[in-house]
Amino acid sequence: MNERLVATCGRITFQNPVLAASGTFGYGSEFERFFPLASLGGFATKTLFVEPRDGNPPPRVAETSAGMINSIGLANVGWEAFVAEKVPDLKAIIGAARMLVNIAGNAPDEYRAIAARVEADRERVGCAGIEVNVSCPNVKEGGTNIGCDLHQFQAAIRGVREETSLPVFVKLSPNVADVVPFAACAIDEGADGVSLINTVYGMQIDIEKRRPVLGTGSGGLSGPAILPIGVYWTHKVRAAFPDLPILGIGGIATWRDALQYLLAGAHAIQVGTAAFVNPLACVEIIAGLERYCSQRDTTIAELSGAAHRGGRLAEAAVWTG
Amino acid sequence: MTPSSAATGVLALPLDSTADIATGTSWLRFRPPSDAVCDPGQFFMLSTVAPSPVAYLGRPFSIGDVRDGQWLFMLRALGRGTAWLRTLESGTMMRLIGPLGIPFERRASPVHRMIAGGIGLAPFLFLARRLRAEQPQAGIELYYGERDARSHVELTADERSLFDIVERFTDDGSLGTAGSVVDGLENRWAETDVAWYGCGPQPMLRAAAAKLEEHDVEAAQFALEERMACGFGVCQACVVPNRHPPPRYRLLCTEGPVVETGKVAW
Repeated sequence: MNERLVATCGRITFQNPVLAASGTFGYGSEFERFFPLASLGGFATKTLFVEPRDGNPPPRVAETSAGMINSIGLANVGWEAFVAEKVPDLKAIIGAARMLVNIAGNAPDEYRAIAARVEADRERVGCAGIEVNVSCPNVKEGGTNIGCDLHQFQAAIRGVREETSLPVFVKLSPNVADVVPFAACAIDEGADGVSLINTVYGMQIDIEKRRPVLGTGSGGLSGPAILPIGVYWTHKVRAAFPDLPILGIGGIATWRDALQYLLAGAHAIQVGTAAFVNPLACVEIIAGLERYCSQRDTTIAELSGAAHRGGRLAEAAVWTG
Repeated sequence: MTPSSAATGVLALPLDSTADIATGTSWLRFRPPSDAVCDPGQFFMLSTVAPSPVAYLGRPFSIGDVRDGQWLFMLRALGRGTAWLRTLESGTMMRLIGPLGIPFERRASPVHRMIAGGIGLAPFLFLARRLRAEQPQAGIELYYGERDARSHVELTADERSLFDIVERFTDDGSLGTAGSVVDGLENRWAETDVAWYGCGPQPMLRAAAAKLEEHDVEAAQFALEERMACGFGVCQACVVPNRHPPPRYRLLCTEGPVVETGKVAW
């Protein structure tokens, strides 16, 4: 283990700051054919509900020039099948990587229910913490996005917090006028930290068929297109809450992208869509950060939030890695 | 033949060469490492190592042929991304993720009959080559339809020799028989002891599956297509509805692309 890379996010310590993001890493064992899971700082599972979900009708993805829009519909195997069928494989390969179980529900009270299940199975699953996906339509309230409504958001987080003593990270949506009040609410409700950002609302129209490409009409934009949005909100939230652990996410494809998030205030980062295009993206980013830290004689802990401290005015030479 | 368990990985290879084979259609050729193996029906996700200004995601390409120490992928410009891929020059570093997916099962049969629509021709030269080597006595037939003569891929003498029968169709009658492959097969749908394979546009495959079902054939192997972001079972985009749920959907990348016709809700 390289001490320079150690990333401390509240109660969770990662061996390096690179995590694979929820929804782009399956249940953890799918990438083993490309690289060892144990080499990552950690990963967030595909979003799990208590009950399995089939997901949305196809087409489920639309490509954009710098990313993609997805409308997968949170297809997942459900909690019971995850524990019975996925966890045993996972435990054999996870090594020092840390697992965040990503959870969601169709209404605020369902967040409480899934959190209770995670708490009950926490030893068996061996997770380091929970990541709460609040970007989910509330089926009981006309499909309003729970992550975009402060009242429902608060109820969901409160439910999770009351059911578990595990570290809780809340994954924040950028589809609001201001992310900061949501971070504040997460803190007030006892969350350990936040992940930001989730995907950005997007739509693509097929100009031949004259209708939206996606089966559900619209979806969530991810990929390099959203990098500056995520960096912006990371910087904003870190400025507002200097001690809040932040997992930076959104459009990271290279170590340079990762470094932007760290400097903006993230304590660790997550890689998502880039891993679809290049399954080795995570390990290449770890290698890049390792080289950077070693050649600049610095650490991830020192880099985190450095952009808030005036930066470095003079560089003798531009280092290109 | 049971599907092989070829190791899936990420290869960075220079594009060795390209060759136009019909209007808007070309071969992309690569020189794979000597130990790399793949089976007909499997596919690779292809992208450029340097991020593309046009196409962010990789694209699935079925392995088109393996010959002269090269892998060939058939590319047709159908949208912005594929049009851009067609402009790439030899030497461009490409990322190949694969081999992926379930290959065609090469069961013993006196007749192997392949029906191809448009770029759906892609997997069949390699399939025919393997079948020819493994079942030299079997008859191998290709029924290949295109919109018009310009789109038609002209088979080389070597490619033609892989088949005992090649029948060509065009929608406008500008080459071969006018009309669709499905109509053109007429009473041959009723023949027994035929191993059926299909690849092409969804309406063609749906019609072909219906014809086969009329004759109680549900085990025809069709290679299907759907939008994919990853190709290896993670993004969950490439779903087709199962005829017999649950589960409601199957992922084409890991539970396909080759699927028996009776298993799909067409």
